[in-house]
Amino acid sequence: MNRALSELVSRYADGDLDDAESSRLEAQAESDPELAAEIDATRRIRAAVQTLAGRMEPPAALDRVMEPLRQGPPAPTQRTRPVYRWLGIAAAVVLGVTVATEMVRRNPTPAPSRTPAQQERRLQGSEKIFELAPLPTAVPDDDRPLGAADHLLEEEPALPPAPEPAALEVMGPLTTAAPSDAAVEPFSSTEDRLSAADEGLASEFAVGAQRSSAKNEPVSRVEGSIEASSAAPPKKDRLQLDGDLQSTAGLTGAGQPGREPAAGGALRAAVSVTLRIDGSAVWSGSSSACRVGRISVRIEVRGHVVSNLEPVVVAAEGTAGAVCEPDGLIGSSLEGVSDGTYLGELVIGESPE
Amino acid sequence: MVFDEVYERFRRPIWRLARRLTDNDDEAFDATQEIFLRVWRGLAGFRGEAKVSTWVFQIAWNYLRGHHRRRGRLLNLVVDQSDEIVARAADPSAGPERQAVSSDLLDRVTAAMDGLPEHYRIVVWLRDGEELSYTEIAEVLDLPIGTVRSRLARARTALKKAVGLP
Repeated sequence: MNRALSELVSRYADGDLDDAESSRLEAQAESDPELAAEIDATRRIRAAVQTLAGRMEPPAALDRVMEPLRQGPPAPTQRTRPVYRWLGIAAAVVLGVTVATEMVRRNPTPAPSRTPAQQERRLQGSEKIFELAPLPTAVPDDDRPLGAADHLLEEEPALPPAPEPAALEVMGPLTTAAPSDAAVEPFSSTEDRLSAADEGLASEFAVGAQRSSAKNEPVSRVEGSIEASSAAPPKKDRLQLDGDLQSTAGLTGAGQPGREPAAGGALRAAVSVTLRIDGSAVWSGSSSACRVGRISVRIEVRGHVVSNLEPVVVAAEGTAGAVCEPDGLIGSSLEGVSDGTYLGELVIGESPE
Repeated sequence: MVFDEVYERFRRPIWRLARRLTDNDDEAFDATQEIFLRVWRGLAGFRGEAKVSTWVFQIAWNYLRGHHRRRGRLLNLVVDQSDEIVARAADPSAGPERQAVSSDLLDRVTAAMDGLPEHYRIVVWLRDGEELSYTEIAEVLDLPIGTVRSRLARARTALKKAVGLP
């Protein structure tokens, strides 16, 4: 059957032909079995697709995931720049990623703490500057204290008292920072989060949290990276965050500072963090065009801070320059000190101060 | 317009569309979330210049189309002509067996749908699955209405061939 006739049949099945066209086609079909079969087959296909559509129901979890948006905040205004695409978060996990930026112009004299091996790597221009620390030894299940992540496995998400934050095991420039309550005030509720944070981003966090709750899966892994590069000539420094998030072990991360950008080059950095459940990425976020010298990652499980990592000196070379280009980085701000020290802060999930 | 109303009205259509244009339930789940998040974000700027349905489906298509482009999915048309299936499906006296055949035909149509190239699949689905008019489909996909008609006809021809119908 030629294409034009097929299109007529298709339109006929849809009722898109006018009366005259329909009558002509029907008359032709009476004397043309092939055409009649074509019309019948088209109707069968159409009916099958309609039947298929009628049998497809969204999972119940979708409603739960969407609940914060349905009941919660108003839609963001157009001034909000949703450059980030923060999607789902892991099971009942609220991940707050805080990037605090401090760019310190490198001291002209080498840091005395730098080891010969690090010096050699620097001279070789190795991009891999951090080595992963060994994962912490797991505490036997029967003996280990109840951690925040354990509550993810409960059917009813009754919030337990805030657990002691897990310690981080890090090496290299990463430092362990067990957050104190005073230093890190966890969100007490989704509403607090929404009121405190950028509307758009906060809602996405809320969505993620709901989704996680629906799936009821513990977060098993967090990965992240910071990439800094100088504008000209282009060089890249990378720092990898990679570790298991466990109720008793917290986040393990390690890294080394990368090559420092050439003098005069504008240091820029991109930050990305990925949260995984059983190897599958369930949440990720990234940004770019921010001068970054220090990063901290905060992980919360149901509002309780379980891991905190700060600071990480990514690079200490830079030039005088302007503040971080916001580029949608919610709450980002940097203060540049032209003589070598840049201080700034990027806070995601909280309003900038 | 309140987001809750939009969600209630389109939760099924958007889920269905996402499911038809992704590979599995998990991907569709994620895609549906993202689409509604975009709807939520854009609601303040929605001025009613287009029908809500058109606007929502546009958002969905823009996301899902990109989704597949990013994934670089290779789509192959499923072609499987079985005379036996066609014969049984065409037999009006088959009785209870007819139901089984219809179910089989439905499975075949589903598989054939998944094998259609994306720009054909979307047209068929919006028309037959969601019963959008040609005009609405043209607006959602930003295509001339003539292109919608021709793509729909070709897609249906491909589906018929894939499931063994004439």
